[in-house]
Amino acid sequence: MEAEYRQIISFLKELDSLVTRKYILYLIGGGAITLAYDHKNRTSDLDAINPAQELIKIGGMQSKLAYKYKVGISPLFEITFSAPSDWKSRCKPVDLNLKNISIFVSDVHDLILGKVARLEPRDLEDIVGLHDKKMINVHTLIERLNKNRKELAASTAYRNNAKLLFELVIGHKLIFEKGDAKLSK
Amino acid sequence: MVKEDCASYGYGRKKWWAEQIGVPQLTISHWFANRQLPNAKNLKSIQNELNELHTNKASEALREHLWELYYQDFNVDSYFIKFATIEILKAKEIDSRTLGLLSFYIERLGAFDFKVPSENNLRNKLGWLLETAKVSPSFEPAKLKEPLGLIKLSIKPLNKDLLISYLSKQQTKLGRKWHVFDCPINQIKENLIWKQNTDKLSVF
Repeated sequence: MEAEYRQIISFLKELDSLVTRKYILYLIGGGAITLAYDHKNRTSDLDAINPAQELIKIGGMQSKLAYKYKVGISPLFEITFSAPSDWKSRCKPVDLNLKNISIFVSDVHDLILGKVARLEPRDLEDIVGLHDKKMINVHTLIERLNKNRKELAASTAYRNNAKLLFELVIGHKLIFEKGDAKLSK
Repeated sequence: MVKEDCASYGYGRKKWWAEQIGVPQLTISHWFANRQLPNAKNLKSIQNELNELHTNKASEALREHLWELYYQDFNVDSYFIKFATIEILKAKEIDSRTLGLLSFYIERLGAFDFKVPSENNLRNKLGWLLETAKVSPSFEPAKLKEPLGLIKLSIKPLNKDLLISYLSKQQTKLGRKWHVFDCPINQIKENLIWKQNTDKLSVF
């Protein structure tokens, strides 16, 4: 079993045993990729959208648990996740046989869109890994991109990064017509 | 060996070999069926590619081992790091997190007396890595015709100039000094946790 994947599983199992009530944990980013899509993906933190305070207290990056497993929860506000607003409805559950914590990971296409805002080399590494495993459906990605009205309207940089991503990794040229993304013929 | 490699990778591998060697995919099929034989130039390309695959496999195995040592809290000594650094850097591309981990270990275990690599690409990668670990290398960057790829972005972009433009924008000051297309690794290093358990010795 890959080291990071094993550490994340062990961390989550122990976290589950320590919390005092039931929680839902929504994961995005590299941690979600390692847990649900590509066990070989390297990551050191679990990006979680609005996790409960108890989860941060026991399993946050500065916690004893994070120190033990070298993996921890990194809390993020939903507003920082640059995916369409209905992203939660497309999350998939990850069954680790936990008693208290229900884990959901973002859909892979929303995960990718979440990385488009920054698109640093480590983000590209993660996306390339998903591409190599043939986990990306180009048409779904464009569909989700077009649903991401907030980001597309607000940020030229986001649109430019989306074009960059398509040309560098997906292998298609992306254009925008009347605000909608589509593949160039 | 190419035939074995194609058999083990499966669909798409023949195409990949054709691209690496610079021949049509059909030519590879002809070679496998003994209808044609590769010429000297093809053989050299194949040999280079096989050597690279072997180096990359060895590098990957070491990377996995290093991460295991990290997560299992084994003590990692400077001799192992010295060996692992060189072998890992021989790979064509290395993921940024492993580069961060190597830099992290070099920084914490102290400066090393690395032998100056004779091969220019390796020399520049090592110089870059040492400087990210706040170690002053005893050698200067080798002059290269174009910057080396360092981070793991094994992609075939539609537009190679676009990739180079992207990598140039991400390049750090150290990357420019050592002529490598690098990326910032400080945040990666900040997320790593230093633990050396005196009861656990590295099994290397």
